[in-house]
Amino acid sequence: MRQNLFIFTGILLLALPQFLFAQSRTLAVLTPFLAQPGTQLMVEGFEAAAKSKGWQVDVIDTSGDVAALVSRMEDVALQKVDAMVINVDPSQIRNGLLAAKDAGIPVFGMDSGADPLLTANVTSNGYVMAAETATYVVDQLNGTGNVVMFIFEPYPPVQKRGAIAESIFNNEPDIKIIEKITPSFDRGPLEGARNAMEAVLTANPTKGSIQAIWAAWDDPALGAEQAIRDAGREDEDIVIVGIDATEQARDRIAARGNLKATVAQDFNGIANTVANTVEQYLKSGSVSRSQIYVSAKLVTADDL
Amino acid sequence: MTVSLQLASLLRRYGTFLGFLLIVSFFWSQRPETFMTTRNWLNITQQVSILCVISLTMTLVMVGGDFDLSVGSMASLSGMIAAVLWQQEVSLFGALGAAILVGGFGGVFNGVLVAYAGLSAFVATLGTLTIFSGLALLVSDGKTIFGRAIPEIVGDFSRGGISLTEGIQLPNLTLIAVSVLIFMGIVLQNTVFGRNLHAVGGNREASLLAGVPVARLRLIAFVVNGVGAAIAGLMLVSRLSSANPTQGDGLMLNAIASVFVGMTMSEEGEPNLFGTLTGVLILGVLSNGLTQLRIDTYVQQILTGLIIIAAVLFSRLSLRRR
Amino acid sequence: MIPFLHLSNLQKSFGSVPVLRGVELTLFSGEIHGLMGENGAGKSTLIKILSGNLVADSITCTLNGESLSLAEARQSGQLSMRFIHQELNSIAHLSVAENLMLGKQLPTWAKIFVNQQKLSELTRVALAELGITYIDPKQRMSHLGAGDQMLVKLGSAFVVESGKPAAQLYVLDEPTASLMPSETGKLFAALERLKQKGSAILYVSHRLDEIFQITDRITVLQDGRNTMAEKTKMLKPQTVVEAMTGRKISQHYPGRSDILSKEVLLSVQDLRNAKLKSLNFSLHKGEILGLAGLGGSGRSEVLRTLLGIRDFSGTLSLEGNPWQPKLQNFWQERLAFIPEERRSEGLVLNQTVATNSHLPFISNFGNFLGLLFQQKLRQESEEAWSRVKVQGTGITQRIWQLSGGNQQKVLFARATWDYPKLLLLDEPTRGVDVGAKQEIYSLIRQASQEGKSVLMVSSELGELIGLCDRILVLRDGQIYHELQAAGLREADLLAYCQGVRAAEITE
Repeated sequence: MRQNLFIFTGILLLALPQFLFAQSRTLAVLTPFLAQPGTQLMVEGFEAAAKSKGWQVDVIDTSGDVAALVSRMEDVALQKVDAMVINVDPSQIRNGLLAAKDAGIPVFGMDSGADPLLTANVTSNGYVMAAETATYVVDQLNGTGNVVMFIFEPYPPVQKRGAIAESIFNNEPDIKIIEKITPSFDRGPLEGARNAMEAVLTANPTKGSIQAIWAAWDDPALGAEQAIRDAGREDEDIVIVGIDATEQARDRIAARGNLKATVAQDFNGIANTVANTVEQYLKSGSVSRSQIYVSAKLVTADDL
Repeated sequence: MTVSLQLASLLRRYGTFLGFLLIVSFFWSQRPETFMTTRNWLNITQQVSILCVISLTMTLVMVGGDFDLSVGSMASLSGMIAAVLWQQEVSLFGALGAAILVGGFGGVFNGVLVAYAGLSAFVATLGTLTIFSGLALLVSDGKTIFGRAIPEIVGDFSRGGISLTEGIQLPNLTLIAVSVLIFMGIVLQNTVFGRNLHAVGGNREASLLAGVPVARLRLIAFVVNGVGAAIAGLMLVSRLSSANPTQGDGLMLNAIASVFVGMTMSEEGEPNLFGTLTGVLILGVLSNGLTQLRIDTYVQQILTGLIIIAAVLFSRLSLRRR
Repeated sequence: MIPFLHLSNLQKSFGSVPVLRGVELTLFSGEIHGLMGENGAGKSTLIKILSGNLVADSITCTLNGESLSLAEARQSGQLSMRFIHQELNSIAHLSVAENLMLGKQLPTWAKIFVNQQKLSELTRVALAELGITYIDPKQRMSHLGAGDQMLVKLGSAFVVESGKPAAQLYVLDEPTASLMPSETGKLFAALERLKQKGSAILYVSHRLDEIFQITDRITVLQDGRNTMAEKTKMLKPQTVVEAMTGRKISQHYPGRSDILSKEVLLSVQDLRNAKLKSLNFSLHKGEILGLAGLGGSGRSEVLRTLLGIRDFSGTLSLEGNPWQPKLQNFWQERLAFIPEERRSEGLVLNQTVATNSHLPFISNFGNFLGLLFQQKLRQESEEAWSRVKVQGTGITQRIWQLSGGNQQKVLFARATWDYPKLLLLDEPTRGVDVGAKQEIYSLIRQASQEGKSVLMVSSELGELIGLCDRILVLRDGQIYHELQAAGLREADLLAYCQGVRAAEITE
């Protein structure tokens, strides 16, 4: 009976690759984060761009397992693909990058991070995005008030955002950072941020004791907004800003509540830029720059 | 015994291995130029080396009739401990020793709960799974440690190996897995501890009445498993040149799956090293081969699950026929 | 009078071993019928055939004078039965009512929701049959005392299920084993009521006094044959005992040695624990000492205490030195034990014959690193194997493949491995065929001739008499008699075990 199953499996496996044969460039996209909306958008965008260029693309997702991603990079390297595109912190997959290098396969970062082993990395400029929202807050407050920050140090791209926002606030003499919070991920950052915000509200009961909330990404901004509504303090005009412009955040901004602004990373733009960079490399054997930034856009209620 | 019965018995014992060979020959026929190469096989052994170590020591615990769900988070924790210590400029070997010690202590904790306090292994290690996981997050502050904090030699280790021929080397991680395999083989087959542990797993009550120190043996098995998890955790740090508080968590389910697949390869359905090794290789070869065949990663997962179930189902069916 | 149920020519074999050889059973409505016999006489097989768990090899069955098969009678509802077993385990966290209705159709609303009120009512009625009105059906089973729990289990036989015919036959297998006298009284009163209502009751028990107190008729089985079927009032206890033991196929026991060593190996003074009340005895070197008694008399408890797995008070000495039994040291002190439950307590079934024979001694075969001397271990396992004459393919054979008798011999190989001073044997021939029994008897006797002392528990009285030098009779955790085995009659020993007074026996 197991033999039957093997035969069945075998037929299945034999059948599948037949669809894929074509004399064209073959690329592999590797990421452990395909379940994340941003990654999803980029991968879909890249697939679309690749299709128009006539490339074959295999998407490999290891569901959060970075070690498995290294293994898959080794496997793909052996298959002599024309290029790999990764969406993962390159410092954690050195072995995979080296395997690709040994096999002479270029690796491109898609919003991953700079690394000498990458042929190029295309990303939004995290510093710029944070500066956009932080200055928006400063402008809204006319340079005076108390700010609560939601940050996340463990993940380098998000950590950068916090650092830049913090230095902007510190540069304003009349703006005071009263709390810096890393939300708990136990039940999701939204819930974590809401619980933390409830505590902050309780600790600052007087009206007008908080003027703004700056969040390093949208989930805690949404959580904080919920906490403010639950506490019945939405009339205090507390300004909340996030980054990434998720669907949910856009809805809340359009509803003209406390959440005022977010920054839209141009995921499609990143994906297209990666595709173009890959194309350039495949043609000429080099890229013009190894770190390429794609601009991001501040989103407020007026834009929606 | 008639010939057909003998055949049935052979099929039952080596059916899973046969299945493994079938999978291998299938991939070979599909990717003749890349799959059956020394380099790819060394790749596979390196890719499965970490899972292999953890599965082998898990086999020990399961031979004793217990179970350990905490190995994955212990791997994360011990790797994290080493990384944090390196970050604080503790010496290379000091941190390695500390990490392994933590693994041992975790094993003692599990063992005492299960063998002495009498908790069910499932519940106790489910608890410690969460504890170790929490500790890993606590010592690391939830951060990934990478870059200069990890000594260069640690990352280089997983890239190094013993040169076999021009450009081909036996990876160090594979060597560690092979050493652990040999060590566990000797422990299970040729030591007082191993033989007694088989008896404990076979019938705890009878072993107790035969004067076998049942609780102590179970405790030791957990300690060895804790150390195994710590070694696996360190191998993982080396392979990724970084430590993340959750990076070992996925190992537990695969390790248990490997041992279960391996259990089909013994006369009496008991955990055994050769079987576990086959289980580990099946998982490794499937990932490697299916990636080379460019099968969608999600379909890969489904196929892997189906193959595990098929193997166990087959051996159960043939067992019942007896 | 036409019997309600008449079974005759009932035959059943397990493999080549006949268990029932032409048994006859006649049950009348409105009567309590006692079924007696020693262990292995075939009582439980008979009950299993009645309940349909086993199928007879041949059987003739009439129900109210009409002949039909048992299966037909059961399925057509013409023969509706209730069984009450000795070990019906209750589920502690369910309510009394739920325990009572376990496996039965629960009363429902709309066929989905449990009708709690009806459930309680049914339970109350069933318990009232037993004269019990003080147990709340909604109470958790775990809140009840052991006796009450047993009564609830009994009560489940009296549940009137809607849509099912009332039971015409009640079969009770040793129902009073864990009941207090007052609870037994309640049960008997309930049986009396059932009898008045015209039910037939088959009552299986070892206890002569109960049988004589409540039954109208007695059937005795011995070695799968009827040796008695008679009205109770025509019988005396002694005649029943004779019928149970009777003239069996005479076992040949190896001759005992005439002279017994005066040297005492083990002396037990004032041994007490939860189940034992001040035991005093001594065991001589080379002596085979038997412990006789009914189940629950404390026989096995004595062995378990000596094994070091029971708390106790009292003074023990071994070879003249004070001795504190500890399980960890037991085998290393050159003491040996063969447990009652061979499969669950003795053997590691998935392991080899060799592993099972040297299990307690593996650590004696390791060097300072714990590495095994495989060669030596194999050699000694081979020796042990040939010493006990196991029939099998060799020491690497898996033990589950062996017959019960050969498995038991492997346990003897283990027990005699390290030249023990003392062997504790709990039912050493249970579930063993006649041939293997013979060999085990020789092994026990041989051990004693080599100067090893043996303390053995057995339910087979003939075996105790044939093999032992002395026999201690235990009842309720106390030694009531110390008997010389030579010349003892089995019927007398059974009477001693059952507590029949000495005067009646010599009568």
